[in-house]
Amino acid sequence: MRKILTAFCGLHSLDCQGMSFVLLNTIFCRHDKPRNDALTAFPRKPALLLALAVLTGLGAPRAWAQSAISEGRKLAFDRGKGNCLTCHVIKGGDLPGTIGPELRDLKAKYPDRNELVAILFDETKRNPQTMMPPFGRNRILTEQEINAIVDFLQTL
Amino acid sequence: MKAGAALLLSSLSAALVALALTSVRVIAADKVDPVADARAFQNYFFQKFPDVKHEDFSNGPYSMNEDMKRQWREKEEFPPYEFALDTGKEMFATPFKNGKTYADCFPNGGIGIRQNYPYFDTGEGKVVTLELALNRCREANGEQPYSYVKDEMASLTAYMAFTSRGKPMDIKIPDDPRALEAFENGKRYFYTRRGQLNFSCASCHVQSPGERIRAEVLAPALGILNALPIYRSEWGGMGTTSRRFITCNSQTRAVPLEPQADEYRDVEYFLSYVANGLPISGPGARP
Ligand code: HEC
Ligand code: HEC
Repeated sequence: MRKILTAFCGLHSLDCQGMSFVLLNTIFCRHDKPRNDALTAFPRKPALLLALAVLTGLGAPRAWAQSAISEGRKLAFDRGKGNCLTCHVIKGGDLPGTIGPELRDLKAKYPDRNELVAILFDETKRNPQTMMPPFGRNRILTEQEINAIVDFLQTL
Repeated sequence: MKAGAALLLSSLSAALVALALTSVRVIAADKVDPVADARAFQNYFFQKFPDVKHEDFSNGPYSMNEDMKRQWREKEEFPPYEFALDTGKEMFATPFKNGKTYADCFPNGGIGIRQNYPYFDTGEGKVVTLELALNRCREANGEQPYSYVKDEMASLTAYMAFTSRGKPMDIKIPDDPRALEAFENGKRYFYTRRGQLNFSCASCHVQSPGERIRAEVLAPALGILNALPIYRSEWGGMGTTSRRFITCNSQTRAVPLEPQADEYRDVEYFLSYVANGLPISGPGARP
């Protein structure tokens, strides 16, 4: 049926090797970590946050959140990391592509942040045809990095 | 975005179903049918871009909108591939040490034949591209083969494409199961997702032609080889088909194959066959 577009999309391979790339300008593949092919999104790990809050009082979580947001913005814009601008218009980013929708009002659209985590982890779960790379499944971004980016997305 | 893609998919499926229903060979659902594939492939692009003249698909990203088209016309006034063209012409006319020339290796002395490449060689049982045929010609005449991705090869193919400009792509699939297999294999390679970013060639050139990926406008897969070789400012020079395939693979964090690996030859066969009827426009120039 979907012969032309999808004839052979089923075969996912992770045939990456250490090499530098022009589009994303970095050396990227990591083979050191065990493969995490969990189908679901990462559970959020508030443990660290909690520990921080307990240790340093109430001011700290806000500062922590603030730095997570700016870390998230950095990761989203970095060509070697999220490189989200390749496909998405994002406020404050230069030379965006047009492949995906503009990223805005995401908190209203996805009130549950886990939905955003899931989209970043592996959007092919929602849409097998999607162009969007499976950042979590293919270990392009770590769980922590995805969480930071989601914090940033929620401010858009 | 998603709705649009779904719509395109469903209209494409509808077209394929319609084809399947009118075909007598419905039972052989998995039968390789290049004629039907090419028709569906072309219709997909013709419907997606109703305003693009069919022959314009040979101009890669420049076919995608008026602004791009204007940039292309401006480029054509002082084409940056001119130098390669002149060099290629001279190389083509210069005899090898044994006194023979490239013309001796090709039908019609190599002039106006670009549209027939790649072809399926029934003796060898494999696809033979123009780049491959050129190096084989050199080796048969006692010369060293050229690098597939560098200037000499691009100059030669630029000249051969230039003498074929305007001729409709005319790729044959001989009645040989191995030829069908090569076509199918190329098609499979083209649609298979690979690498850490999980892209297939089709992700970019079928699903997203005309979209910008950062600052670059993605070329449609239809007629995508008709303009090669191409000059790219980013490369600071010319690039062959081999060079472009390797670049696309490595830019998307997939492991590129060796130039002229069987699979690349098959992809070239598939992409050229489905472009049958569209004019050769090479050599091309890109931003
Ligand atoms: C190569 C293209 C590409 C890249 C890179 C990419 N995306 Fe996407 N993204 C898409 C497409 C296409 C969609 C549309 C939905 C779909 O295809 O399923 C999308 C959808 C989304 C959505 C849902 C938007 C909505 O309004 O529903 C979010 C959120 C998102 N992307 C975030 C990101 C983030 C964050 C990054 C970087 C870490 C990123 N994307 C990188 C292509 C991309
Ligand atoms: C993530 C995106 C992406 C993927 C995947 C991709 N390409 Fe490309 N391709 C590009 C970009 C960007 C260009 C340069 C702009 C253009 O011409 O489309 C390009 C250009 C080309 C061109 C030259 C077109 C022209 O007229 O200049 C060819 C041929 C081509 N690609 C073939 C392939 C093949 C074959 C594959 C799979 C092996 C592939 N591409 C995979 C992004 C991609």
